[in-house]
Amino acid sequence: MRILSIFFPHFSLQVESRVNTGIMSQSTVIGGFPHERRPVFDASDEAMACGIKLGMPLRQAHSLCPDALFLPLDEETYKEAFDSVLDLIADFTPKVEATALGEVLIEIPYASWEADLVNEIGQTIEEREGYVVAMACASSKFATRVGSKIAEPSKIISIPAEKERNFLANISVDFLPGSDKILHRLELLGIRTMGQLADLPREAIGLQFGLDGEKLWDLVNGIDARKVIRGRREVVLEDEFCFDPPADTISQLMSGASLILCRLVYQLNTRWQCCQRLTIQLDFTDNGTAEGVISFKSPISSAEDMLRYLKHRFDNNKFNTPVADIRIILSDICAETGYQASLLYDHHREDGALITATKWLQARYGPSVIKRITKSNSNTRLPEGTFSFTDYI
Amino acid sequence: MTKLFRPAIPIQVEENPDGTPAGFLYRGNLSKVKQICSHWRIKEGWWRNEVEREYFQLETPKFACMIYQDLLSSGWYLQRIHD
Repeated sequence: MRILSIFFPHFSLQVESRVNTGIMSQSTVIGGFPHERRPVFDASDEAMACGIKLGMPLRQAHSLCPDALFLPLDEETYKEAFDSVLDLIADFTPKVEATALGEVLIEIPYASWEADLVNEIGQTIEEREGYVVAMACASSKFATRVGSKIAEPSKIISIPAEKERNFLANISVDFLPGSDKILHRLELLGIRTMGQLADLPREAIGLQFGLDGEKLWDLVNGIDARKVIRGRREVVLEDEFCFDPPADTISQLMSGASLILCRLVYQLNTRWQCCQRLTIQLDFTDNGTAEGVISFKSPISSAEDMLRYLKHRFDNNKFNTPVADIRIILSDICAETGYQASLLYDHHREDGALITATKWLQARYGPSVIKRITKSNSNTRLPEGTFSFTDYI
Repeated sequence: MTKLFRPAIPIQVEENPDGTPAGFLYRGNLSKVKQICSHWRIKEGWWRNEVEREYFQLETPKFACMIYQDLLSSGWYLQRIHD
């Protein structure tokens, strides 16, 4: 599987430059005005050369670069602009993941398409939307993301399969998705490049940095099996049922709706999800249509509960014409909100219930979902330094 | 029960003339400071990661909390909320 990463350098600045031409080539800071208590959202290369960093207070940025042009933050416009880019990319391939504003991952369906597809996507974005992009192609998510960030604008880096380790070897560890603490400790240990980290034994890294360190070791060695997750667009589940002969009673309608909901709820359950809205569309034999929307009070994933809402809706609306077709759409899909396990109802069973709940959560959401709070031995007076989280095994 | 934010949440603070907090914006709501219960300063880590903060234990009409001003960046942060 090959993955293409498209990186839009200074995306918000590129969007702003459509209205304010010339800001890309001068010192520009996006985030607000210097007197505002807000952080720097983006800054041009010229501004960053003065020492301005992303996340820095605007006042500090102003003191470093008083001549810079300060622009207010308009996140809505940037999001809309990015959405139109995603629409454009979705015309090429369905598996598109928006990892951040100005950063997209695409799964290339067939390896033989790679060169043509990459060139075509890059050209289309530059010609139709006018954005400058940097791209990289690799067999792992991490390598391709790093590649696109170090690629020169309008250039493509292609990393051959199983050569990710060699590619990453000379790149700074700053690109690693580790916590500030880990990156700082790597710096103290004199580990500056990913190659230096990759050369160390995995066990040693595990001893020093725990599971997070082992994950980083895997990444720098090109071990990254994560797949592109189709994201961003609103997910809806829909299905329909044709009545033959047309349904003219509520019970017939309910039986058709029940069949559809069983199929849809099965899909929901396999994804551990719930929905908050149900839309029902009816096509009548006289070519008329009717549509109703039911918003649930809380997210549900049970066909019986949905049928109860539907029954209530049908009972309140009488149909004079037989129904030929029924369509149900589940939307506002969300994660389960969970429920509270009863741990303390029986003192003797308390430990057993806790262990069962822990195992169940870890099996469902991964081992890192539960952490043990460990009191820190350091003599720090900072509240966040008094404890740390360790893996609960 | 208290909720410790780790990392602390950046907040916008309205300051009194003497630099103490008069109110702050949290989750879109402006919380006026009813009383400053205590305040102290922490300065440490100059040999590695320098930290210099002025902490305020506050009482607002709805909750009590602990906020601090990072004296190196001048930014304000919400560190802890007491239920």
